[in-house]
Amino acid sequence: MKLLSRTEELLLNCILRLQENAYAFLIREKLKEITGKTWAFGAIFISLDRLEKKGYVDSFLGSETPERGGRRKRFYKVTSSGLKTLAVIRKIDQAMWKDLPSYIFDKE
Amino acid sequence: MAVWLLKRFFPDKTGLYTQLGDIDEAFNSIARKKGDFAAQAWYWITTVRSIPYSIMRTLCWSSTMVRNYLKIALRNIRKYKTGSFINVAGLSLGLAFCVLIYLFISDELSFDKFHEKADSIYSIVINDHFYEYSHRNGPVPIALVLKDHFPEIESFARLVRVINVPVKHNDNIFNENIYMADAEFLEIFSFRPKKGNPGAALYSDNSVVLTQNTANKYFGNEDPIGKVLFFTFGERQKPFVVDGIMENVPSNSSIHFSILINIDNLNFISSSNSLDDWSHRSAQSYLLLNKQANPAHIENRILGIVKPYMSASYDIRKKYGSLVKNGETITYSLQNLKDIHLNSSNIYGLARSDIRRSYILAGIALLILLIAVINFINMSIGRASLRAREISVRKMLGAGRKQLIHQFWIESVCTALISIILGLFIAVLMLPVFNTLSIKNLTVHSLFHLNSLVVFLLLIVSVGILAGSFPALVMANFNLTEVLRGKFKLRRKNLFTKVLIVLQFSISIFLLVASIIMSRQIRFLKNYDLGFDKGGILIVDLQERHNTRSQELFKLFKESIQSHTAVKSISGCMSSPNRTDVYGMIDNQGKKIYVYENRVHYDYLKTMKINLIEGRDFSSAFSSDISSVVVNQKLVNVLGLEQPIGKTIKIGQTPPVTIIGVVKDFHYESLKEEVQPVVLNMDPTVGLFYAVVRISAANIGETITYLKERWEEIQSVRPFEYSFLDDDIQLFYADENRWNAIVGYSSFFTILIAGMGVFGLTLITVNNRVKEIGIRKILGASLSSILKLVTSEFVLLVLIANIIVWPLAWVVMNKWLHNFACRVDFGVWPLLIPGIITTLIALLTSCGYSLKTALANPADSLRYE
Repeated sequence: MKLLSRTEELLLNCILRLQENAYAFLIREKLKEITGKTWAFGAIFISLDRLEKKGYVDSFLGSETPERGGRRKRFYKVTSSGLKTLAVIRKIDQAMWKDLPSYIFDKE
Repeated sequence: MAVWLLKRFFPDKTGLYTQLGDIDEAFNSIARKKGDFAAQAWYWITTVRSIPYSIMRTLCWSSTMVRNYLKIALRNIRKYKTGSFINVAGLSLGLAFCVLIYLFISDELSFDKFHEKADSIYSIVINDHFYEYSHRNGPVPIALVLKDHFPEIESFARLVRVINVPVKHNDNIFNENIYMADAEFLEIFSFRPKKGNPGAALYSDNSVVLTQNTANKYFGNEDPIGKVLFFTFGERQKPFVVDGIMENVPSNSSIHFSILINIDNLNFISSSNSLDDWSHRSAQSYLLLNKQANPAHIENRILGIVKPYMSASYDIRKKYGSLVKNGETITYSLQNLKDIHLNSSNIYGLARSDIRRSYILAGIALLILLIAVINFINMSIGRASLRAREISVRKMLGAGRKQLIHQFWIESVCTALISIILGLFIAVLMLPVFNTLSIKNLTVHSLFHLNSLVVFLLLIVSVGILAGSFPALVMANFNLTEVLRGKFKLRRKNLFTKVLIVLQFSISIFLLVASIIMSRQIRFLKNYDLGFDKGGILIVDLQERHNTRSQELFKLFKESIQSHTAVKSISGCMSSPNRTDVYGMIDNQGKKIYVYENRVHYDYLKTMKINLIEGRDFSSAFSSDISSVVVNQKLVNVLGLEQPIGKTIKIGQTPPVTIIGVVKDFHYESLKEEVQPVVLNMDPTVGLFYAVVRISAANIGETITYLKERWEEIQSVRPFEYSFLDDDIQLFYADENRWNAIVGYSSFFTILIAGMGVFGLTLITVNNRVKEIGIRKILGASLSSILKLVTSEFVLLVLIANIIVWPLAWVVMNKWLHNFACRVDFGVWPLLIPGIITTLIALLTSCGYSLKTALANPADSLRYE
């Protein structure tokens, strides 16, 4: 199993949070909310494609809506292997941060 | 727009563009929050930002494919050697022509652009509405007066050309055409100085500026600066000190000078005050305008300013009745320096070019290229069946239509690339011939300009794409399953190929017909009976233009040479027999008749061998002959005289003259012109500027040396200048000769390329039909019937091409012949000969290879079935 890139990790996280509603536009909004930055669609599309290729997410088409110029939504869902990977990452993260006292950051 | 761009960037196989949907949604949400404009801006920024990446991605992937295509292309070129050779040979010839014509046209377009101030230099053009022509030569003071009226005129330069000035340094005497110029001339124009100080030299009355070549002519390798040249103007001589040397004038300059002196010398060469003379038109005037100037504004006001000064010549025109009613006879306009070379079809005074020449040459080059491209297309389509399997496999492995087309393009661009390299070599080899034909001095250097390289690249790509497109479209449309099942047949191929072959041969036949008719017409003109005997006549230019002095000189010259046995007859005239310098007008009951007048001396008819029909020649026995004239038949006919001898006619304002003789019409001009009424007189007030000498055909060289020695005995300032009348007459047709050569060469090359094309096609057809031929032989087909099978198709096509071209060629060439007053009746042979030649070529080229196949043992071709 390979480690995920930070972007991919964030995306998976967002998809999990959005549950049934995970499609590119809302993922982008969520990312903005969490990171405070505007993300380019290109970055999102490419990472999503990559995740799908690796088998961490599944996608399926939704129905057409007038708001989108009659185009359909592509919804994403985290697969079990995606979930497993996220769990590993979470574990690593926790292990990494555990011993670092938080006052180090407060100084700055 | 942005949507279209985005669509190109998202290769979405499902075709649903879900991603675009996301972006649309974002767009709408921004529009809600911040307004439409912000949303649109965002949309655009997003789109544009993605461009660099997407381009990179495309390039990266396509380079891999292109490498593969290149490999296949080179393999194919190597595999079909004969075919590739024919393609490359044809294309390189066609491209070589294009390269040459490109050089020609870029040279034409570069005229006068090397002057830094070219944009603001204007030439004053004098438009004569009575005689319907324009000239650059105007009154000398005109520019001076205009400068006082218009502050926009920064400065001006006038040029007065004086021809045939004997210039002497020690023993070197040459007749020179010199320019008298304002000192500002060298400041306005960007001719490059070489030695000394030409700019300052032109300010002095006693200095002369030479070009490098002229300096070499007089002084060889010595340093010319400070040397003295003696100029002879009529009776007077004046020494000039060489104070400046200029680089030779570039060949793409309209103004060509070799010797410059200050314009104030005008008052030295003529007795009157020429600098203030409004009645003669002798100076070209160039104005340098400043940036704010509006040339149209100046142009409109010139007439009003100049008219008061011109009243004298106005009166003269009134007297001769040459005033245009309801308007001005003469108007003035300004022409930008850069327009002079190509836009002066009716403006005289400087060498100019006809833009149609460029068009015709470019047309011919493109036709040759077209024929070569057709070869390429035909052969690619012909080979299509051989390559059908390759294409189908590619398709099966997922190659898209676009990819297949790209592959063919790359193949043809490769061929074009190889061809242009060869073509450049051919062009360099043909350059000397081309230079003589186009009267240019093009060099190889100009081939290696950045501009040229860009043009050549464009040429390669456009030829490649043009040639590659047709076969690519044909092959990309193959039906996959049929081909792989081996049932493949190209149904529409034949018609398309046939049309192209007919087109090819039509072009070659047309050019061939044209060149044959042209050369016939030229031969016809050469052998035409001009009404006098042009052989053995020597024209000696006496170079003295003063009326009485020239008569004395003629008398001296005549007396000194007439005793020599080789001199059969001698006479004199005012304008050379092949020129028409003076026109008069006869008022025939209100109808104006223009007549060409020449002042001649005794024995003119005898020397020229012009036939008298009625009356007599001038004779010293009749003192009244100074007011008598000999006229030609045409004049008698035009005036409707029944008994012309003894009748009087009145020409212009001169006293009436009596007709003593009528001669048969003779052609004093090019045969393009009709014979006009001619009057020969012996007016003693008019000078004899030329001696006409009939010499015997033997020992011509010796006779000329003898004449030259006598000439040098009787005077010392002028070199001996002579020409043969028949050579001068040949010069009338120099242009026709050149065109004939150009059309001849191009018809040769088109036939060569088209012939090669037929050969290549036979090769392919025969190879495709080897088995068929084998079976036919086994079943008892004779050799001739097999040959007929293959060749009849081509021969038929060539015959069709002939039939299409004949009427067209007939019409076009008749139109061309209408340029001439005397036309050859060309009959049917010029049409039939090219027909026979092209049919034979088609027959022979297609027979050659099929013969080999037809003779082969059918067992060999059928063995593997």
